[in-house]
Amino acid sequence: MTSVILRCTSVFPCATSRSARKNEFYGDKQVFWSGRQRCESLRRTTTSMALKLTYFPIEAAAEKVRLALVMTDTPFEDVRVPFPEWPALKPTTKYGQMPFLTLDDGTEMFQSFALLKYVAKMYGDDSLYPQDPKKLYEVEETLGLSDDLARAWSPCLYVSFDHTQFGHPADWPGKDDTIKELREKFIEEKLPQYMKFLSDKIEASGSQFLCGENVTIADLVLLPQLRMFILGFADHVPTDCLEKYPVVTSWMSRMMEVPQIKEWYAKPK
Amino acid sequence: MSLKLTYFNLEAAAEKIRLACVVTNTVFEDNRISFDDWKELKPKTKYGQLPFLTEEGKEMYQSFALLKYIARKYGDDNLYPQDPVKLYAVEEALGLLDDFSKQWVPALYLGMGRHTSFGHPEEWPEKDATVKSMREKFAAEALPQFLKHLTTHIEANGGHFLCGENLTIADLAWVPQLRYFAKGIADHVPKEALDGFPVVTAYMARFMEIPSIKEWYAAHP
Repeated sequence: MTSVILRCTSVFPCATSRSARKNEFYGDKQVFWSGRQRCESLRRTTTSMALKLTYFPIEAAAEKVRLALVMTDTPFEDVRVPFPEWPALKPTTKYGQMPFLTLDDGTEMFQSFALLKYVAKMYGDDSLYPQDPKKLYEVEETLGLSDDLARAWSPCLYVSFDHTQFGHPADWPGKDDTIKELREKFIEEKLPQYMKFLSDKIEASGSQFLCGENVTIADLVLLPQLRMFILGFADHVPTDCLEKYPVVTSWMSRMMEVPQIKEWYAKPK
Repeated sequence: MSLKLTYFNLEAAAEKIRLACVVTNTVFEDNRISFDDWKELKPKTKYGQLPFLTEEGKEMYQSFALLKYIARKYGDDNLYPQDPVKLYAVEEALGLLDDFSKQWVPALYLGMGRHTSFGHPEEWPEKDATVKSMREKFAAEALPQFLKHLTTHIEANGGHFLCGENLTIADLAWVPQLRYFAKGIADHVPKEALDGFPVVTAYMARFMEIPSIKEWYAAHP
């Protein structure tokens, strides 16, 4: 049995400390409380040790959830399922999709944006995903913009993986040319519009993060979304395609300098 | 404090916001504009899109952001809860709706003249036939699949509304979308497609019986 000394800085006595006993046991750890007791750290220690996030070995939909976990210093197991193993796992999932979050009691939770918000509310402070209606609106408005960008890009991306969903015949000789044309058109016409919206937003919020001076879940969504354009995954999308938008690229650099995010991206995956 | 919601004379993206005002007894001006009015207004809007909300002279955008703003500001905690677990349940149902609309959108837009965004030529002789077959496929596969998810969801949460016994913004977003199909508005998606899912149709009927909502639809058939 290991001993852990927990120290807290919140106002004492709080509701937890009034009912807590000295020398308690949490799992296999004997805990000694020194002075003040903190509800959040208590909850974090006892409930998040066995959090597991399961997804493919890519960023995509899970990355915003991973970033929320690291931003809130929440330990989790980052399970990456190789693509060939997915068909066997798929029917066991609620919607036939990933990512999903597994809690320490085995409960599974789905839908990447729902997971992002759950993690932010459960483990983050108010600045990450504010309660106040006006501040909430700013974050959600930015998420709406992100969703519009994703929907504009999506046919360009998915036409290469599954073109039949857009009404193209399975056997389609025009495929490669169309992919090239759609993506080049997007970079030339749509991308500049969205980069302008984002640049204006960053400048209007004080040129720190998307919604003001603190990182919010909107930043955690847009960062991986934009990284996808510069990491060279998609044919016909040059890795320097964001260079024309310095307000956006400096925001990305600031994000990459946030200690938890910097550490996350420095780790081999 | 004056609220004005501007959109086309359609339900679509604005309806969930109108319903949020209605169920929270929030007075608002339901400003419906024509497509001609829109041509003139579009360049003056932040993102070239509707709906937008005007509150004390300031404009606000993005339909889901507006929904959540109204719910948080004017509704009680049940409508859009703060608790992480209850919030998660609402967001999970909204995520499901987003997946559902992604299944529908290509079939919808191809029939609306937006086929070039999906890599089809402007002059596309196979257009009508493709729209028909895609929508029939949607009606036969994706629609029943999601109606089944909804059935499971409603039953797992007590059989009343999507996330439990209280109305949430998830219901305000889902029901207008379901009613769209139940009215048979979309070519090639028969309104009978929902008949095989009595838990869902009963849920929709229950929603329509909420007094403020019943009154709203009596005035806006």
